[in-house]
Amino acid sequence: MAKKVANVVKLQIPAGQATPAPPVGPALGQAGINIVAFTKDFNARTADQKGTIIPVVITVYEDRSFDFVTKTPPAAVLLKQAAGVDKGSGEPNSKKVAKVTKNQVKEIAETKMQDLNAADVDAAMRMVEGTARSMGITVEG
Amino acid sequence: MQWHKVTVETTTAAVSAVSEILTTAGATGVEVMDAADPTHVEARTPDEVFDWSTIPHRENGAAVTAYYAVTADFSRQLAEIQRRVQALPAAGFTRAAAGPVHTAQIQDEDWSTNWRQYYRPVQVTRWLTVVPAWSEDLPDDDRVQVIRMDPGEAFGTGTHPTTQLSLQLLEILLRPGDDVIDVGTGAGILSIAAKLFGAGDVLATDVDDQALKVARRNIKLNPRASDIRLQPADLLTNVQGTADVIVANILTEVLLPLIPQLPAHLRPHGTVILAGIYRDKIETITKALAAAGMTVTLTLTNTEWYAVAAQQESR
Repeated sequence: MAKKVANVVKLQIPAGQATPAPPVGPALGQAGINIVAFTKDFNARTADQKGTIIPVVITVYEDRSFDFVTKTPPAAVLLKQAAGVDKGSGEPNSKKVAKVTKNQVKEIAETKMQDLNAADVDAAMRMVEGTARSMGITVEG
Repeated sequence: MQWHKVTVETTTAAVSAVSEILTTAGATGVEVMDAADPTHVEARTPDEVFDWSTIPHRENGAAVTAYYAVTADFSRQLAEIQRRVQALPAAGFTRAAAGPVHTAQIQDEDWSTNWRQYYRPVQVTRWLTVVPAWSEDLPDDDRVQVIRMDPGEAFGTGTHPTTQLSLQLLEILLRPGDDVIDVGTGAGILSIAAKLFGAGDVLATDVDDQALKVARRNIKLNPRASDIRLQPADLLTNVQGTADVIVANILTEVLLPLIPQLPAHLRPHGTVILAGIYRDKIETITKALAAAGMTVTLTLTNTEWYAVAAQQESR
């Protein structure tokens, strides 16, 4: 049966630990889909990534059935992994916490290109670089 | 409990940075709305139909929303968010990336069951009402048959126009005792309805194991349909036997390879019911049926969807 898409909901939520609490509840409640079924399936599919936030795109069809696809971790998470730090800087302008290379930025940009809604790799790299600087991570090179 | 809803207006480019700011400030997740979605979100399966003129989305820029429990800590969290959002241009983003930041307070709700309010019994044909599994709200007219369905992932509850059309055609054309094959049963609704309409043997097939699991669950909710046979199958490949009625509510692209398989499984004077046909595909389907020796005997439409009944031309 053809499924006409009524709604597209994009979330970033904890892998393996999603609950009907916000942001899931308010975002999906409006779309009228079975939230418990969603959290159960999402947690099952992302159980082995527990501890990370995972972007998920939920497609809601006009009969309120749904499907979803999970993505690679957010650029900020990949930047922290690449830089070897647990968290970014709250004072990004004055206090730098780590460094990443241009190559690492490019790698992350290529991984995340589609999810970032970027037009091309250069645009994706600018997004990743900006995210890095906003967290007090310096981009070298 | 109450929640502070914080929405940061920003640009597509700064969505990642803003998401990081909101989660670092203590949110367990974010919701992203981005005007670039219509050009980047793609159909993952061929049967997804995207029409962005009817799908709610942002017209420009982007917005990231997060929620924080109402606690004494919130003013500090909000100040931190605002300070870091305002610093985004210094990180290389445009000025449009830096807000404004909107806040609102929302009441806690029982989100785990509130979605049920959207599911009410729906009378889908003259003699058939689909009732959610938990609902006590039954039709007054006891001649109306009740199908119980449990709404879940990927498969609907019978209210989709193509399902309604299939049910209407079954109601009109199925004769008591007819044997039925339901190709691509999904949630199982057409097979269950066929049973309620008095069908004899009903065989439901689907290529997707998840569908068969959902169908099995829904069949259990409908004791009169308990003897429906389920079989994993790609269309009618490896399916044995013939039927008086073959019904398939799929999609034109999937119906086309099914059509040549139909005559071998259809008894003389049997009827084929095909649904899931978008209006621009009706001619393609009619031609494919003719090529397989079948003629359309009845066409129903609902919004932009078509469903047809066809019979073999007498030889």
